[in-house]
Amino acid sequence: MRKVLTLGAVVVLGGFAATAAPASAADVTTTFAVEAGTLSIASAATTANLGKATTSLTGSAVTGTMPKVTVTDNRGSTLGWNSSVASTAFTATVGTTTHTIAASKAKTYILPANGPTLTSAALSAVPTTTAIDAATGLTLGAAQVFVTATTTASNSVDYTPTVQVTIDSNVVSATYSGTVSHTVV
Amino acid sequence: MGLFWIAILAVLGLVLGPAAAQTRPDTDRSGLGIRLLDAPTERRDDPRAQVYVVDHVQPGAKLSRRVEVVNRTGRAARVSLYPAAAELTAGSFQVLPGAAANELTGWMRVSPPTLDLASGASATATVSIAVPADAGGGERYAAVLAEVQGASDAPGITITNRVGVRVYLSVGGPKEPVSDFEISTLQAGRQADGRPVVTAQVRNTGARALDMSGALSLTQGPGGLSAGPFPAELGTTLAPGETSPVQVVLDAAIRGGPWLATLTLRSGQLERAAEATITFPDDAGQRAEPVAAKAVPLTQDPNVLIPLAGGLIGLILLVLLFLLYRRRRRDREEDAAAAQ
Repeated sequence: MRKVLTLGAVVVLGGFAATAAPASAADVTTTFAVEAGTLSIASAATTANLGKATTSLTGSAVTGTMPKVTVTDNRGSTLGWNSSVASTAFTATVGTTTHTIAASKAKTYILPANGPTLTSAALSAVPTTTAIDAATGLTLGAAQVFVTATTTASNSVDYTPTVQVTIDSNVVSATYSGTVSHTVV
Repeated sequence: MGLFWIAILAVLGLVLGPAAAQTRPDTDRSGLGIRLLDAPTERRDDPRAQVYVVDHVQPGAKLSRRVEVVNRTGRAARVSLYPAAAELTAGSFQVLPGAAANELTGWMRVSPPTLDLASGASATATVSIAVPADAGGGERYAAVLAEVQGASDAPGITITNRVGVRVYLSVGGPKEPVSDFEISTLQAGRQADGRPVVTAQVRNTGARALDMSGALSLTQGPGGLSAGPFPAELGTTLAPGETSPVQVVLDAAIRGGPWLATLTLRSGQLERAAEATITFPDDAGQRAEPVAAKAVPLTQDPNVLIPLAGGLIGLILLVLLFLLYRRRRRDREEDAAAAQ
């Protein structure tokens, strides 16, 4: 009986020691190595051409697909990821004059046939986007969340965005350039 | 002795396992990758701290973390590394375009700022955060980004890819502000594709941002049926004080009701559960009225569990003491009886 009692006392001390530890560890800045894998983004190409539009009195638009974007999450965590998209203004230099189409004239969306598609994960939940056509497309300029992962394990996801630029009647005809950036966190 | 060697081999296996998994074939074209290499020891059990920089520090504190950048684009790349401001808007953690600045990015430095990586190569960079001594309290958000730019010589659109590690830095007194949230309502609905969905309104009642995950179970359904658990959709990041919906999409076979729905949500090590009786509408696109959710006792909260366990152990000790006392007394009585 005496032995059992001693064991009981040790368990109690152990229990209280464990509860006391976090309070005294408040100022500790030591770190440990994390074993999680990487979060990655890839594009099928580094440049894109939207095609040509003819300027007109009533305005027009040019629509084209962007290179396919692949997000691979090997972190194996219970946290998802989101990707956002932003664009600079589109500029063209003719002689010494620079003409500009504001980024807010561009919209981006993912047609249902173009994704988001889960390419490697044994899960059925597919990442979501609310921008699925020109009407629901995100207006570029400010960064906005484009695709949100809803799965909890490592996964790989593809999507091919479409960009539509509205050409107002006052736009000077030229070849315009800009930068579209995809950010995954 | 044999057991000892088996144990040693098991430990070696654990150490070698992840290292072997890191050697990927050259055909890996997952692009530009980033991962966090260290996390604070006191957050060892927090899943958020394993993939994000999540910390609470006092003004004047300095901290540094390492990140690894991997080039799997299939060609040599010049990678830029820099901090960018982030915001929590509409329930999402959102990185601002370009090298957007805020107070936190002003305290951050990434070294080196550029890395020239051959195809398949990886390198380590250090992120240092120096919080000024006069910094105000509160939580601030940013991301450590790695960027590869597309060739900008051709006319047309240049594609820039950025991948990052989120930073949630709280500044304040010696004690970290409390994190907490409540699930206020559950609403049953049916999506346009006919699949049933439960939408929970979740309010962040603490002082730090929360990244929601969790699952929903259905019990006491028609004919005593149970279903689930169904995973909650990720991607909801709640700012302090913000209320946002968290969705759970269920199996198409779930119909009617009433069901007792129990939703368990967590952010890091914090967990809360709530239940409500819900009935699914019959037609696609329909939504039932939201039902107020009742909080379910926190059986898995360490703040409840640890005192509870302590109390139980104390009780066992008391019983043991009592038994010993009784045994002693009986022994003494027996000795006394024998002596007579």
